[in-house]
Amino acid sequence: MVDLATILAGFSDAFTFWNLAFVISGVALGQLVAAIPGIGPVMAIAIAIPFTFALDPLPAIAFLVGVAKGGTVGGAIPAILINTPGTPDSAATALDGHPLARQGKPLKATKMALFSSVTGDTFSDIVLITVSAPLAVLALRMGPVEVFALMVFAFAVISGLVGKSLVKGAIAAALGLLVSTIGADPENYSPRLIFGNFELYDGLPLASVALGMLAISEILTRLARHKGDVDAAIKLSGDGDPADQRVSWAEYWSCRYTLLRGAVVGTLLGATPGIGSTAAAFMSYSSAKAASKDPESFGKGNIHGIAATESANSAVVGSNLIPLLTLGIPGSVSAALIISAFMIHGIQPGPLLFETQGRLIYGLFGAMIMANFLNLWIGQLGLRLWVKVVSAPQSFIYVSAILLCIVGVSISEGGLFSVVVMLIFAALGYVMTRYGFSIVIFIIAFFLGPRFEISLAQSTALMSGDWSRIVEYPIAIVLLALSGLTLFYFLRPSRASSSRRAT
Amino acid sequence: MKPRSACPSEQSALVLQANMTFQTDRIVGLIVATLGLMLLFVIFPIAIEDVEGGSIQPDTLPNAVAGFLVICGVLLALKPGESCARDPQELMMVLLYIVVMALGLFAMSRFGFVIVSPVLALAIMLLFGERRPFWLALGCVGMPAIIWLLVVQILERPLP
Repeated sequence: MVDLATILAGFSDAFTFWNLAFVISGVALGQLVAAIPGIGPVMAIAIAIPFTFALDPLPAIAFLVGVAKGGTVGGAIPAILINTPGTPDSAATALDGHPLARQGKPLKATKMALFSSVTGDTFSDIVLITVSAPLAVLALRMGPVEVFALMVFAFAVISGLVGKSLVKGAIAAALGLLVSTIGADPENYSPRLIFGNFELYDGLPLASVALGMLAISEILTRLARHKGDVDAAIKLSGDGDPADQRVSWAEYWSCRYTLLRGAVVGTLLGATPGIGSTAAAFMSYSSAKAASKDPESFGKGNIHGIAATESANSAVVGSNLIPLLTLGIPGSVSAALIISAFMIHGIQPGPLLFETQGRLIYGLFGAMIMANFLNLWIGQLGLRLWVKVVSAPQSFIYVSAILLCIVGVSISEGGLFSVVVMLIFAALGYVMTRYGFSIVIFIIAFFLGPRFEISLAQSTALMSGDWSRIVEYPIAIVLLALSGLTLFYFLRPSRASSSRRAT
Repeated sequence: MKPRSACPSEQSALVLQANMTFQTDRIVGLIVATLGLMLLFVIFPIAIEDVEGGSIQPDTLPNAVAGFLVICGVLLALKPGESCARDPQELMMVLLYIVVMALGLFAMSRFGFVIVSPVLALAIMLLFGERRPFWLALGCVGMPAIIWLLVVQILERPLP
């Protein structure tokens, strides 16, 4: 268990001017990019990771977490103003946010989104800070067999929950695992599938795979789909009654139960790998509507609708880090990218993180708390500015993103070979998305692949190659049984495709 | 609000599209299964060496994954799900952008980022349909200059 001195040292590390500057930059960048439909915080994190290579671990990771947190606020801006969500999880916010904007209250709607987002995010951060260390202690008692079974369970859950088809999810996970086996095998260091390219001996570069599949493939799709006008169109209007341009304390307080419900839903779903913030937002919206005395007003500009969705989707950001920090399993693509940032800085995520890097982790928690306050402050100040900046044409935004990806991958991996790998994975990402295979599952499987193989090797060694001895490991048996039940549940014919979550 | 009911011609188009997506899934399933078989029997024996000792062999996990791909591919072919087939013109445009980027990378390996990036940016922006000189200049000159300043001057790293 981490001692108090480490915790205090971690927090004091976070509250320095240098870190503050990086968190401010991260939050501002996150809010900005999430406000641009088509870019979003995930792509921004992917592009930013290589540029953090030159930084110390704490400012680097604090910056990336700032981008993720800023993104939860920025995504609501275009959803409310032009009914075009900047991020998928803001789609539910548009249901009530846009009608409110059309009633001449765009600032009230965006400010309610901001306050709700910060409330949900702060709640989940408190849960993360209080439960992750004890959970990590429990996780440390798990041996390789249990870790192997846990990863099988995680794959089963993620394959079922993300995307539209369990079989396609399983194929995406298998492809991710397969690609992770390229390079030296972790047991014997024998080269595999490198076909004479010794640049591949250490495996495929993380930054190339992540940027290719997440950023470049998405940009290529948007470039190719584009027809006609090259302008973005975000306009902020409505300078009428001042009461319509702000959120009063009474209005905020009247939403307290909705906010709390949203924060709890978001925290619980965020802590479960694979579910994601989009499902949390819609689930919270449905429950708020069901609990309301006036459900008819939902969809017509009810601020409870905005409170429900924004508190839930923002709460996911903090709790997403629970499985990552305690078990080393990323719950979402953002978390997987943050794992890659840990690894770039030579830090191995997982239960040992609290023992080996306790000070860094509590520094990260300090930075997260700081990011929440900055989200509120920058959100209040920056709203009108983001609207101006995001009116830049898509042509400029996409070409800038492409150049940043090329340079980012090149400087993090050292050479154009990794950029070529990025382009290959961009093409693969496009093909997978085109035929309904989730790239989210692929990337999570790719990140987990080496650890999965090591735990398989260690488990086999522990059981002397006799897998019937798995009965000696009851936790592993329970986890494998849960995996089977999960697969059975998602394969049931009665389960309509509509009930599946698209993350 | 009730959803708008489709007229007969729209219904037949929807049925046709659904059948096409089912066919697409079947073909994709067969391709995945074939890929699994190719990996198992052609590629892995060539590209993965056997070693002595160790609790698992280097090809243990790849073989298991390839076998799993064969099973899943067959399942997908037998029981296709929802598919999201897209416009063929979009595929052609994506291929065109990939070719442009690949040529840009090839040129970059010869002449460097500073010389090639403005040309690459210009090509992509023109393909996208941007014609305004201000934005073209900002994308082709301004952005590469900002990147040079950030990477070479501030981060002190070399550009490709």
